Amino acid sequence: MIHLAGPVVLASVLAGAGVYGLLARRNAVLVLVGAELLVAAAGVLFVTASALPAGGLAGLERPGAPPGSVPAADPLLSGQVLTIFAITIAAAEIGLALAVILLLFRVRRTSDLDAVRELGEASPTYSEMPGSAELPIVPAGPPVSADSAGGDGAAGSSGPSGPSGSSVAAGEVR
Amino acid sequence: MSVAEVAFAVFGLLSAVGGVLAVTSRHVVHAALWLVVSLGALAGVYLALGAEVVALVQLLVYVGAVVVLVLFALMLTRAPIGVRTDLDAGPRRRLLAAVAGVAVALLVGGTLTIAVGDSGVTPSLARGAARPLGQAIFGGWLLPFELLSVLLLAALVAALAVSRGSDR
Repeated sequence: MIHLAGPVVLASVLAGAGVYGLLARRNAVLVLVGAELLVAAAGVLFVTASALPAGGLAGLERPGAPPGSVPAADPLLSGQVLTIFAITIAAAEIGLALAVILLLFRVRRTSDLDAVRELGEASPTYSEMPGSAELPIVPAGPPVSADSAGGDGAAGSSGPSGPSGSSVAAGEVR
Repeated sequence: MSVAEVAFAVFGLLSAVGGVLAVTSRHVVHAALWLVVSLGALAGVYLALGAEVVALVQLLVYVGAVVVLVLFALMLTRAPIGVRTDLDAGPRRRLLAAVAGVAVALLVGGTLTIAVGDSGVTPSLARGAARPLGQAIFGGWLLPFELLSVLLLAALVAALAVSRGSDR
């Protein structure tokens, strides 16, 4: 018999670490690590719930309860099946998120989330980056004005930028 | 203590330590490798809880595929090698994040401990074997399972579309 305090404490530690990672990390890939830990915490609780009898918490073996009629197990195995579903959804999520991160790195030359505070064309300080002619997400809009060519300080100061670096990385990604 | 209890304690401790180190390590690659430790030990936890197939899926999908994807993304975004201080936010935001993390851990752990902390479960390996799990998935869970394959296809197409761009 496994005491239920163990899985509960494990799930809460993983969830706490995941929330800390989501909030404290600046590197976009490391933020995803925190999200994976949150999904893992949910998986622990799912698998623990699948070990419960069919009545759920009501059917638990309490220490004081008289040992008697053990209820039948859940034939649908909900906890384990849902864990497999959660793992699949997490895999799909991380594949898509990493594609977005790679696109961000190709366009902005950084994976630092603190340097990416713009919301695209809606932002007043928006400027197209160097080499924007080959950027897929930027539609053909009005030309870059002279005062916005410098960009904002945060995005410009992080990492080496320039046409040569962007073409090298773009070839690397594809 | 039975074998399952000892295995659960060892793997659970390893998983918790690996998870905490994965979000606090200052090496980028070390953080990804601690994620391997945490998620791999979690497969052992699943096995100790009687979920054999789920443990194998966890090993295959997480340790085999997801962590490799993360490492590839770190390489492609030119992650720095060595100790870096710019991976985390400033100390004030780190403190707030730690407060939020501890609050979530206390909330989840406290609530569930009050609810179920004084009881135990007896996991059976026979329930988590391939045959009952396959019968459950391709029986009652057939429609969600098929929907999940549509979701995977949508994620695949979307990842291709995002990474290739719209003009090619």
